[in-house]
Amino acid sequence: MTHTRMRFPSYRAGHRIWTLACLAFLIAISAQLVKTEEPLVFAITNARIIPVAGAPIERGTIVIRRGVIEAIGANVTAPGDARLIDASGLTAYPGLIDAFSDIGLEESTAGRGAAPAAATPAPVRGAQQPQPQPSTIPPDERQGLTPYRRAFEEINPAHRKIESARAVGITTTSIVPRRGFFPGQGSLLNLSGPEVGAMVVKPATSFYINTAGRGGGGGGGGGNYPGSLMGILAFVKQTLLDADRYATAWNIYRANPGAERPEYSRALEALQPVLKREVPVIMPANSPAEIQRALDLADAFKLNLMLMGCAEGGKMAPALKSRNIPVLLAVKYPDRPSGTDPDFREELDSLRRRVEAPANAAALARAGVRFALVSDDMANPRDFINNIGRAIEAGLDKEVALRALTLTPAEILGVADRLGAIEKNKTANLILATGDIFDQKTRVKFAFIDGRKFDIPEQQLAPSGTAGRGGPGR
Amino acid sequence: MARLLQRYLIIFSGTAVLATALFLSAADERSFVIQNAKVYTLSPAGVLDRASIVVVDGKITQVGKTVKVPAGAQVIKGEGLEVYPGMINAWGNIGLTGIGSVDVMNDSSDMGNFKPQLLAFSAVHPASEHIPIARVNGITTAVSAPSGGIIAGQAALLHLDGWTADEMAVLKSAGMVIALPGSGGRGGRGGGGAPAVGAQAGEAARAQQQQINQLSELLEKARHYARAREANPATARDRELDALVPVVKGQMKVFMQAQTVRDIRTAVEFARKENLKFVIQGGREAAKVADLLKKENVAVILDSIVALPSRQDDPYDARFTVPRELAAAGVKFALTAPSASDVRNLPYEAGFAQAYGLSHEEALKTVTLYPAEILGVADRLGSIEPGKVADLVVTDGDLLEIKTQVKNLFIAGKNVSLGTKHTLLYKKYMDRK
Amino acid sequence: MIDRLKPHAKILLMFVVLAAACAAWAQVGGPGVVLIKDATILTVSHGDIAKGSILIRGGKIAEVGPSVAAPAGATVIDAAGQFVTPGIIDPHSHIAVAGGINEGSLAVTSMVAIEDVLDSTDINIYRELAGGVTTTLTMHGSANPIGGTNAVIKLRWGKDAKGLLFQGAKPTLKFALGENVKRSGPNPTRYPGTRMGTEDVIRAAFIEARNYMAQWDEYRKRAAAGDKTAIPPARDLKLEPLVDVLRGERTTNVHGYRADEMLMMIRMADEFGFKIDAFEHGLEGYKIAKEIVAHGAIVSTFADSWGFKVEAWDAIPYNAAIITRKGGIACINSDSAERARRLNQEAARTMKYGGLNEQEALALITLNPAKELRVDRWVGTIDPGKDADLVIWNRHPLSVYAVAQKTFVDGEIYFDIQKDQEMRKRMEEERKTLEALDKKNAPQGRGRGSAPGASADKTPQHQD
Repeated sequence: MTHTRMRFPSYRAGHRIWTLACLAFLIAISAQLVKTEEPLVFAITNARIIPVAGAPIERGTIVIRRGVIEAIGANVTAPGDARLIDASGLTAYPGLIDAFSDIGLEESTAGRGAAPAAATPAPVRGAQQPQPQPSTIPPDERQGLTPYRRAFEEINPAHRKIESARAVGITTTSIVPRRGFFPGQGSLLNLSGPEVGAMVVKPATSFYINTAGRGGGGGGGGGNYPGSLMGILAFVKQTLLDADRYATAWNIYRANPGAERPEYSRALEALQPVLKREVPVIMPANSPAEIQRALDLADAFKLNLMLMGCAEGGKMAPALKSRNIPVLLAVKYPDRPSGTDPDFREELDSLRRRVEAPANAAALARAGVRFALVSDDMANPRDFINNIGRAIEAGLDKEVALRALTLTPAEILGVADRLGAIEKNKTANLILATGDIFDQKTRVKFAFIDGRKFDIPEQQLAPSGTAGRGGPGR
Repeated sequence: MARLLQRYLIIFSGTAVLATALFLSAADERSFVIQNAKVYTLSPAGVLDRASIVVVDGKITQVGKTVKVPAGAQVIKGEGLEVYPGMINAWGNIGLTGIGSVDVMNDSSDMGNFKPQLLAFSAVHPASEHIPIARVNGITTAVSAPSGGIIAGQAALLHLDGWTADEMAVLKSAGMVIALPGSGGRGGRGGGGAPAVGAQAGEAARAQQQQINQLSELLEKARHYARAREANPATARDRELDALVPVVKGQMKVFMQAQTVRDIRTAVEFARKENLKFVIQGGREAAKVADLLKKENVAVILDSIVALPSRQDDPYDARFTVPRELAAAGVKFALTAPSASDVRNLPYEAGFAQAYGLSHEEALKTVTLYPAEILGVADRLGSIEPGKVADLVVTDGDLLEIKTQVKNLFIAGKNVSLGTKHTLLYKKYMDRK
Repeated sequence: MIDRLKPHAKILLMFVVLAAACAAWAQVGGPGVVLIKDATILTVSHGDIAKGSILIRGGKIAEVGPSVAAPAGATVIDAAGQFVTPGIIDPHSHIAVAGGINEGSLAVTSMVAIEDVLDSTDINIYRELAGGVTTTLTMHGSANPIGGTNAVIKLRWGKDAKGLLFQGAKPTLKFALGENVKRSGPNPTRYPGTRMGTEDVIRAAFIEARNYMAQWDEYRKRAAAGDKTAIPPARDLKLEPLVDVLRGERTTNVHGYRADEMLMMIRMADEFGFKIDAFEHGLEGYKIAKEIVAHGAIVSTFADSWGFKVEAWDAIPYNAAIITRKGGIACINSDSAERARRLNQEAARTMKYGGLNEQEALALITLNPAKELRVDRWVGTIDPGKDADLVIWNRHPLSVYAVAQKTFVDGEIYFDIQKDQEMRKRMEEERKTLEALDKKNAPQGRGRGSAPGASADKTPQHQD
């Protein structure tokens, strides 16, 4: 290119300055525009692609436009307006979906009432009994009955665990509230930000009935009903009966002038979709006995059941398979005891459970039980991926494992039309990793969520074992 | 005149005879003979059929098929009955507690970690309801031990009869009760507890060692104190160290409380290092270290063996077979019923041990002769031999069998009442129309 | 014509063959046919058979007598020199429960059910089998005046929770009086704090139950009359067991120690028109044997446990004997996983304390608890037609030296002292294998995470 020297005509000095000023202004503005406008179009080239819904592509291109996958293939040309990302040496996976987690969840009593219900004072001998403080927390909440809560209302988009989840490749998760026995509804969120509104994929995916939980709003363990497991189960049953009767009462009222108007209950209102089987109900269960209890409860109330945990689900595989129960399979393995007592002998049961734990996933897979791998409340998402690696070493098929982190959770959560695979027209959620996603040495370099690019910084990698206690994410 | 003399003579001699008889009977309250019973001497003499036991002033003077019966001796017919030495409950806290749920009735465990000067003897309640009830199945002597802390105090050995603790005391101080930290041992109870994990284990071990060091230092102070007092009797007295002097001199036995393999090993090591005369008390896992105990010649006072296994994967009879295993390894031990309200079940501890492998003779000895030997009173208690104290149980059958009834109980030769609060209530309410 | 008959003939022939096979099978041994031979049989119902045999078939006792022949193919167990009793029934236990035996947060918790939280993996089930127990009532604790419903279970070790349930047993409800109730509330502010308050709480609950029944009656009347505006009352899981009690369809098991509180409960039962099934422990029952017998309650008590609480201060080991002599029915219970293993010894104590004879003593842990649990139709004695719940002992069971050799539940051996020894060896081998695997898999900083951990299904035992 040849420069043509331009010569400004000599105008009056003022005019020159005015022109310069305009020019500067325009440059500044366009710089701003250039700065604030994120590329909406990406072309990821030379990547090894694992679409999950379809055969792997050894070397291909993915085009992302407006948050959606526009094209994917070995012979796809990058559009002219695309920002090019050379993914040589990297593998593209669908963004991992964690179908049951607490990533970003910050449950608090703030705004729900000033103080927790009367703290339990030590038993007082003699006549002076402390008067119980009237509680500012409503009775439903004190009892852990808050099915109307939705997880996305309790998300902190700046929570560190969101970053560390992305760092291991999780781009979407169903976050489920935990506090109480009917803690509320799970929400499906993309782990993007900056505000919750941008993250919500589905505000309400399921109801959680936390039979392993503690009482709500203060007191838990301090003597509120229910305190025992049988109390919790009775409470759950009574609540479902109440919800059923609530519907009956309102139906009669609406259809019959002269009928008494029933009371309004926010909680029982919120539970109606459960009784109508419109929304699935998740219950935690790990041992065969716990699994059976959940199945019995679901039978009694005709619930659309999903089981979470299932650490020993392999032993109940036939029952799970025959009823077609979707399983949200956690991979929390018991720790090795690390005492210094040379005479210490671990209980045989505990030893057996620990040694057999990683093989559980493979057992479920062999039995044909449908499951998604979930982190539940594991503090470090890195441990989540590593434990899946152990499950693979113990016999879980790698492809099944990957599917259990992508398409299967998408199917279970009812969003398989948009998520879970790298396919044209699906949401642009994908990750670029330096190798096999289950390899310990692999690093996720980039994540795309709703078509936005997230760089994964180097230090978000150490698993809790080597980084010491309180690793990234909390 | 002769007639008058005769009359006076008759009256005089009658009075004299009466007086003599009264005098003799008063002196003979603790003198009697049991005739023609089956006697389990638990001595080299063995089991004697149709034998007799002569007791004079509370002491056994003769045992055998043929005895010389002292004139005027009270005769107790023993046909069809059996006689055993009175049983000795070698651990517990009888007389120091009342109703478990009522704090003010508890005198067995005071505050603080190092209390060698505390004496169970001083707090025993001789009128405790537990005492007559403990006797009913043939227990004549029991240890009453303090608990809590590292040095709990000194245990006492008591006859289960007497108006005062002085009258009851066989040994005002039977030994010093020491529980090294980590053993969780308390009088009659306690266990090793779950081992700490990870960093916790390291910290716990350090804290444990610190307390053991404290104890060592205290013992060393006592040695120094003993030497100082010998050199200069005007040395200021220290009541805690005074109490420890017999311990460091090897004169007073120590009850080292330990349950687990680890704690027993630690206890044996510590006691050897400090040159203590000691026995292990508790010994839940003693069978697992039987070899060590045999090698070191350490005796064990077991807690109740009628207890659940401490581990899920233990065999169902894990506690029941400990006596058999210790006996097979040649370790001397005593069985006990430590709970104050249930001391009367002591014979069934032995019966249970027999059901699970101990011989009948050994089973009997674990609640009579062996406790006597372990407590250092075998010269006067634990078997039916001339020279020993007349602690005797007369029964209508096997001492260790449940349905057996005790016919007579003698403590130091006194025929002790078998009536209790329970028998009173039984009669009262059977009589209710 | 023959052709038309052929299909009918075929079917007829099939039936005939089937019938013959059944008849033949009944004569012959098959799986589940066992003969226990030449033992001393303590039937409890009709005395002792010095030397006799028991034929088991299909889980039931088929024959009992001095000379019972073994059908061909039967498994023969030579029990010469040994003793056989009915399986022991422990009518007060807290084993095999997950997640806590007490819901003490409220004074009335009849909505909670032990049956919902049975833990079939509790090792105490096995340990009790080794002590000769075959059936037990596992219960809610004594933290509140009205606790939860209980479960009658057979100790079928290895089956799941449902597999433990004793089919046909009458439903029960736990009540508690006395000290535990007064001091068990959260904050000391849970009413009641006295025995007066305890009575009040129970009365109030029964009145509420009556009101509940009335509400439903009213609703049904209105609905039957075609009133479309009638809204059914809310079902109340707490009140329904109390309604069952009022209707005589559920038994009451009342934990009580003091004579006066038991009399209070008898008055309550009279007021509301039901019978108390059993006083649990009823330690002062001997003081009011007259009233208890007149009411018809059973006393389910300890052998010689006493003095651990103020209200147990007057407990005497003669309790069961006095009740028996005064014409009542007594049982000995364990209320403890430890005591449950030696209920035979506990029963034997009544021979020493109170002079019961062997038959009477044995009944305290077999027939009497069977009556208490309303399962005496099926268990509690050795009679043809009853369940083959049996124990073979090496000595007379009332001896301190007796050790159970085999325990049968429904005709199957669930405890065998020989097999137990073999099992220990297998467990050691399994341990070695697992330890080797564990070492091999020891994660080097790879993937850890908090465990789902010891499942809530492991519970400590509790004495109330």
